[in-house]
Amino acid sequence: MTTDREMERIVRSWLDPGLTVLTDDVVDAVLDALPRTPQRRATWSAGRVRGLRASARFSLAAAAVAAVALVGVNLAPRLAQLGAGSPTPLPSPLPSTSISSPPATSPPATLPSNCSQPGGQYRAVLGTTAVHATLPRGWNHFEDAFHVRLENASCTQVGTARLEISRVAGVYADACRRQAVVAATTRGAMVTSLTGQKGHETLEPTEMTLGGKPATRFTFAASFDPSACTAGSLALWRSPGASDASLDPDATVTVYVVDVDGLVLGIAASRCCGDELGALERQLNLLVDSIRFDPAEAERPSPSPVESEPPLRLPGTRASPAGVYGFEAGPRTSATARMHKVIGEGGAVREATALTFRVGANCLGSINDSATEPVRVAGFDGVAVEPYEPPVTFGPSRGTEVTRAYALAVDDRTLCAFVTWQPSTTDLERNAALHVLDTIRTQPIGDDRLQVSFTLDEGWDTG
Amino acid sequence: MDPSLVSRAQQGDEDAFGLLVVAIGNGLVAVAHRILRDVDLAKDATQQALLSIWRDLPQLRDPDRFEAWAYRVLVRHCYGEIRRTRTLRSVPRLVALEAPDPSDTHGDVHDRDQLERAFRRLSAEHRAVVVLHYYLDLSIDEIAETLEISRGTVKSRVHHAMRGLRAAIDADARTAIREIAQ
Repeated sequence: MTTDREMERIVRSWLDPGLTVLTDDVVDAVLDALPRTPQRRATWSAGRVRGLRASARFSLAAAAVAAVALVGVNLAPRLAQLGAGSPTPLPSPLPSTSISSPPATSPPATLPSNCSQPGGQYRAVLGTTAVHATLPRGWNHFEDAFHVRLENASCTQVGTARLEISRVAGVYADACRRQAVVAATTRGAMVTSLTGQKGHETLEPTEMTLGGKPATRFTFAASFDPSACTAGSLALWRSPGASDASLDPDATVTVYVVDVDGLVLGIAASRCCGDELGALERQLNLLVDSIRFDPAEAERPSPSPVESEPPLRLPGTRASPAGVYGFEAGPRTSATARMHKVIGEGGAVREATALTFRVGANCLGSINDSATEPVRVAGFDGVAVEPYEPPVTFGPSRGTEVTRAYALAVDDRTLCAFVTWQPSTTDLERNAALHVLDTIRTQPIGDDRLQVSFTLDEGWDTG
Repeated sequence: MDPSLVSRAQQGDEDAFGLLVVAIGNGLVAVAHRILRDVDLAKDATQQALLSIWRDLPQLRDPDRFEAWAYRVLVRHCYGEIRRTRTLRSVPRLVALEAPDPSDTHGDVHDRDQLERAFRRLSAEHRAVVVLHYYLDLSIDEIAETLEISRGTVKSRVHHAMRGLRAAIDADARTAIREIAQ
């Protein structure tokens, strides 16, 4: 029987030999393809750097020499041994003819991923809903969610129309700086968040139906300075399993917030600019009118190989950006998720609040029942204890901190949450930490585990 | 990784992206080769991943996380290569065997052969965590962050992958013992 340690040694040793240098033919192929590979959401931005090919190659050659020197001469025999197979040529920029337009009577196809597809019905699965839409000729899928854009026949983005349909993890309070994600689990909450969002003008929502589902629509112009915004664009909302729904400078966007049987979907139909704007609006309107939702197909696997569930991770060891974080734990593991928020810089830092999560029937420990208060948090019934003793702290107890503890029933399991604050903590800071509990989403995993996610504002860390 | 280089590339600076390719290209192709076990497929996956990285770079919110994000893009392309080649497996394909390392003992070569077979039977997802953990030496947390999956999922995949690899070696050892006994 091979021991764990021996097995690790064998696997490490087995993995060690192999290709370790990216050969010039691949580097050249990539660099040659850059001019005909438009960056997504970059075509409307000013300041794109062009015309530096010669200097790029010079810089690259110099850096490559340094890289090879660092790798060491011992690689040469190994490379010679392997031989240098030539990579597959890059995809042709010409229109693909391998996918035909689906006949009207056939089931909808998954989203097209090549250039200049024929029109037809397509579908994508977003959470518990299958989204169907009829794409006009020339529209092209470009992401894992239902994100499509209009392209011309040479696969260069016309750059003027895009439709994004995605699930919503939270709305950025500041769209330009992508900060302070606010949970938006209902259509009303999302509309409120978008209406108050910093970075664009105030919105005037209109109630409507879309695909037979209740929806809210508003239109505004994205007039902002891209150099002042993160990644040069406005980010409206975060989407689990996909990139942010975002806008480029000078685009006009119509946002639809749709409630599909309890699942909130955000739709951003953006277009820009000049003489074609009217025609593009008509195409986008036709596309939006064609959208249908089919919950019955929700269990079909996504066409994408990418994991569609929201990422579950805790904040990093340094102050982390706002967003949805989470973990998975059970009573048989010692996993306790702890994080805290530190305010200030340099020598004037102080811990404002801390959050701790545990999973298990006895995660609150032995407490006096008379000290508990019944509560309902994030839709889960439970009890709260304050002060909870001994206090659960992020670091060593100083004896002055106060902890409010919660034990929440999630089916047959218990999730415990502990919010700790210091005498120096302001009411605003404490309430912000308590508000995190309102964003908790959790589901049972296996026999006794829970997957837990929640939304944090900027600055939490586990370090 | 210099975040300013990433930011420049996000703005469409091809010079900056070229330098990023140099900085991460060797690491990417090394990981691709170990996941895919084929030089040409590894080069293809790396080439396509680098183009995806260029195309999607403006969407990366935090330039400090460029490297982890780049590996995630690469791993997804490796998944695609594995699935594509598996769907085409009815078409006979000759895969070049790599020359053995002369320093290997007979037993190690034998183990390598068993590992190679067992590894190729693993799913794309299981291959990826093995390579990230035992070749790149990423921790469970780092893999979870890189692949945007939970720690539990990473640990489960490592456990199951190693169990599969171990079973291949141990089964072969048992066969050898039986042969000697006979």
